[in-house]
Amino acid sequence: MIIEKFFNIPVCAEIIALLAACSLVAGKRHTYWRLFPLYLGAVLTAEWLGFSLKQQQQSSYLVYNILWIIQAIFFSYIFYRFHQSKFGKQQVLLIVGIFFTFYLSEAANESFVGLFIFSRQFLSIMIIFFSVVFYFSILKNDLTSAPLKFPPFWIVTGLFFFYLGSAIMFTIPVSLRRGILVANMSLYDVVMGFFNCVLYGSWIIAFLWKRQMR
Amino acid sequence: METANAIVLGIAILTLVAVFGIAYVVHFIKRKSTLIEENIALKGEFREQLRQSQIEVQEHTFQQIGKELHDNVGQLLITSKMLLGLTERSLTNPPDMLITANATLGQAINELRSLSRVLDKEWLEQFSFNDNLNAEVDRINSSRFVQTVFTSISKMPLRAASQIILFRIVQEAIQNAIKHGAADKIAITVTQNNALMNVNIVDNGCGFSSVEQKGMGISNMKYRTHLLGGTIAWDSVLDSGTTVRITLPIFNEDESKDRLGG
Repeated sequence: MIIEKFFNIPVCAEIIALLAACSLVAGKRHTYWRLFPLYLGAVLTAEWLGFSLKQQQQSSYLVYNILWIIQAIFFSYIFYRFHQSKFGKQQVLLIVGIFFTFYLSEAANESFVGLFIFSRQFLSIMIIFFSVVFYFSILKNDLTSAPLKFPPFWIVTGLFFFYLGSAIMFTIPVSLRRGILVANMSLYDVVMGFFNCVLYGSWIIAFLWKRQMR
Repeated sequence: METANAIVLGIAILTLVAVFGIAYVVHFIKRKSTLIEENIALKGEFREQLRQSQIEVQEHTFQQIGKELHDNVGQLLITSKMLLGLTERSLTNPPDMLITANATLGQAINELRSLSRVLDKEWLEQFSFNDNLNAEVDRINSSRFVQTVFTSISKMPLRAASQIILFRIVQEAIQNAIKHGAADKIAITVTQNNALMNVNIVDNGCGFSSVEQKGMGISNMKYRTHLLGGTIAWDSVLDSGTTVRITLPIFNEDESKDRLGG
């Protein structure tokens, strides 16, 4: 049972993505792509730390609150790098600045005891917005002629679906979200398990194309 | 449970909508790049047609100049030579300068004849690369300053128009070897390998560095080689000499007609 908790569907997807990142984009030549193994390592550590804290009947909110700030920084940096125009880059900086303002105000109110749901929702909307802007920019500019072979496209697609799913999930009341849906799995576990697979599956495709491009 | 199922269904529908949206983006970009590629191909085709027209106009102009030289300037010179000849014969002791002028005029008429012959379309259509280059080599060798060797394949797999262009490229390379490289040995080799023809011009001159290429007709040679659909490369070592490598594709009759307006 404990093993199942530590190696559930999202964690397995993360491990596979981490292994793929380590073997495909960890080299020095990959510039910012080599940050993906570090990020995936941080996510995996946070997931396992969260589980072990839950096992010890302790609150894991602090771990997730810190993880979200790591995610916000990392994804903003990724989108910053994906953007070709100065305006796009400035847009990323502005929105991430607004995120930090909300995050700090929520931290001041909650004192890291509760889960920063509002910041988490803002993060989801921020990533969805960045993704839509990215799609618009590849439509408008000639960044790529074959999007399906373009590594950033897969990174963004994975993020878009994951945060679309999680944005919906976090608007649903906790009682419904944590209610058992099928085979001892809650609605949250089923939906987020699926979107985790989409996210990391897309990333693995991105890593493979990135490797191919080299 | 029903609410949960409805939420799952809602998420599934929303995800499907998003999938369709992204699929549209992918499809749109692919269509856009196909259009761009088609546009580039059209531009290339247009450039090719423009080049062909340039060649046709050039040939026509040459023909007109040739005719003018032969029918007008040539006739005037012949009349002048005739008059000089008559003057020379009418004098018992004609001055040396008159004899020299008559001889020089005769030389000029011969040069003009050969020039108008070169510009004549019929002559152009019967042009032989091997014959003309052999004549050029003989002319260079007769000066005794440069020793030139020319080896070629018996039948050139190019149309007359292409052979003229190739001849001009080789002429330019020989001129460069003599004028800029101060070479005293030049070897020209023509070989054929399946669908490719290779022309190598090797000299033992002083060579050149890449920055010294200006004023050597390099761009002209590149342009002419491009007209033939081939490639040209220079291997030059300072104080050792230069090798010019020309590689040309051999097209079948129809293709070559299309390419050079034959």
